[in-house]
Amino acid sequence: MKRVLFLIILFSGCVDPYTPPNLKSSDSLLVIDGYIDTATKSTINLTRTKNLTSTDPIEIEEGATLWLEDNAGNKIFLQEEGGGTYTLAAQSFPPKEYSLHVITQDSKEYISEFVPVMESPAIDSVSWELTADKGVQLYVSTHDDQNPEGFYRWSFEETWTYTAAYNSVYDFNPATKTVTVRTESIYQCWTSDRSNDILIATTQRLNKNVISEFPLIYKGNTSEELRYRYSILVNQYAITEDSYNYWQQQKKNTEDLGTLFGPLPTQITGNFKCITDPSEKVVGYFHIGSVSSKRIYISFEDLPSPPFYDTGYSSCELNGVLLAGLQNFSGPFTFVGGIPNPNGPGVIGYTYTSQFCADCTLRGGSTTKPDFWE
Amino acid sequence: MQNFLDYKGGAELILNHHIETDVLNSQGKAYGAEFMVKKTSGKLNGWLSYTYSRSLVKTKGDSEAETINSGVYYPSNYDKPHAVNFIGNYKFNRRFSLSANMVYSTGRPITLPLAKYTIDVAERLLYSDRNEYRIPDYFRTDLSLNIEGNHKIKKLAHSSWSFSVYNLTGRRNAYSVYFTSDDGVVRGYKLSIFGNPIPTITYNFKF
Repeated sequence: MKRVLFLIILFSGCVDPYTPPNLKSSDSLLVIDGYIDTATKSTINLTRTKNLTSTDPIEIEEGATLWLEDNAGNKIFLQEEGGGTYTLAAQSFPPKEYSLHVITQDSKEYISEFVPVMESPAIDSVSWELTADKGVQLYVSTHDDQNPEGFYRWSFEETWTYTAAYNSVYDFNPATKTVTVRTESIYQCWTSDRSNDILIATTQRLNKNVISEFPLIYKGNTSEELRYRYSILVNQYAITEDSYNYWQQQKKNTEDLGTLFGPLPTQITGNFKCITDPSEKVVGYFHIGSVSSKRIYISFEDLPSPPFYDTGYSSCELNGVLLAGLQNFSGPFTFVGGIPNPNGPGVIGYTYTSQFCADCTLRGGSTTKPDFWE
Repeated sequence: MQNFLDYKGGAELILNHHIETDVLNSQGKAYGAEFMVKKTSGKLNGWLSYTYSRSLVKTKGDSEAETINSGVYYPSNYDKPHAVNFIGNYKFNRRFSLSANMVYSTGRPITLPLAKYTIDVAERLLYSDRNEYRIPDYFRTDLSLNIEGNHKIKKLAHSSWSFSVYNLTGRRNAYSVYFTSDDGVVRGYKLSIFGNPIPTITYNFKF
């Protein structure tokens, strides 16, 4: 036993935190995020890289001048909207090659390579199927008859509705110790989440330029998202081969990070370069093209009902307070319903629960139904 | 050096059935010099050696994906430019002697994640150039005291005791440096083996 203890002492303390030599703050690199959408208003965000251990908010780059330049030398300037966001109003783009120019406040100039306008073919379908374990697997399918081979990237936004653990009908005013009927429900909320996985595919090695059922995301059968009604909006981008390689490297670099079987990390920065200081690196990939989108809905009626849903409300419970106890009642609770009088009309008290269990907005959702929701 | 191979960026290193597609033909060069001072006789003997050696690789392929570090020479995985070894023995008398051993070498090269950034709502990592940084330098001191047995001519076996301490200074030399992501925060760790002084007692006998 003692020997075991000795070995533990010998080996246990041997993993120490290690801080790599940080980039100096003056070395923080410019990150150019966004793309030019040929159909609607486009947004480009300028930020800076930050240290690995930093928990500060993202540093934004303001006061920069951005413009698009086509290969004939015509310039289209972007508008600064504040918060490091630069926009370009919807307009038509002749099928030329474009490059994005950025001049930052400290007069450094960055340019992207010239890239062609990539028109995305329409999404044929966004489909789903029940898997063997009763979960839902979502797919996207597309095809392009115009080009012999295609490179695609997808992103999606999920939106779903959920409810709090209890439907609060009453509102308690701690100042006057009175109970009123709640006017605005805090029971049902809608919330959205954007994909952060890199979803790319190519038909380069296929006979036809057809993508059939590319897997987008899997939802387990107890996911709260599927409890009432779930919606997914899929955006499809046609990208260049170079861009595809960029995203593939990006995927390798970040999605398998730290696993034993992970690939060798590599430095990837994209298709921008700094012309003021050629040794300075820039992060980002300039893309211009159209986006095709498709939204589908999945209702709980379409699915077998699971034994339970992972709602995050599993520890919620109801407590009761009698009318006589209201005068001394305080605390951060939300009233739920009335306790009916067993011997006649009216209530003899109220049930209450924690704010979290009754107010769905505390989990990030909004009680306003999104405009697109059907 | 011709026919030197290095991995492509993003190569799958383990359980890869087509590893030949993930390596690149590179050019290597290696050079260096060694110096050594040795004293073989007397009460104090031992040697001190210093080695300067470089091992560099250049990978410049036809395309961006086949080029590492923009096609300039970078340290290979085995590049440890400075290495110093010292061994000293001091004989107090016929029975007692003391030996010291010191080892120093530059840490080997490593590719580090340097910074993080957000693109398309997801946080991603920016890595340094291949083998741009090094793990901490290696340094270790060992000390041992030897006690010889008596020198009677007629005896069953000649024996000696040796009391030694491995890694006397308890320096936590890095065996490896790795990073893990906990709740989205990337943390670096240094794994050291034998990071404490390890005392040993040895009894030798010969017959």
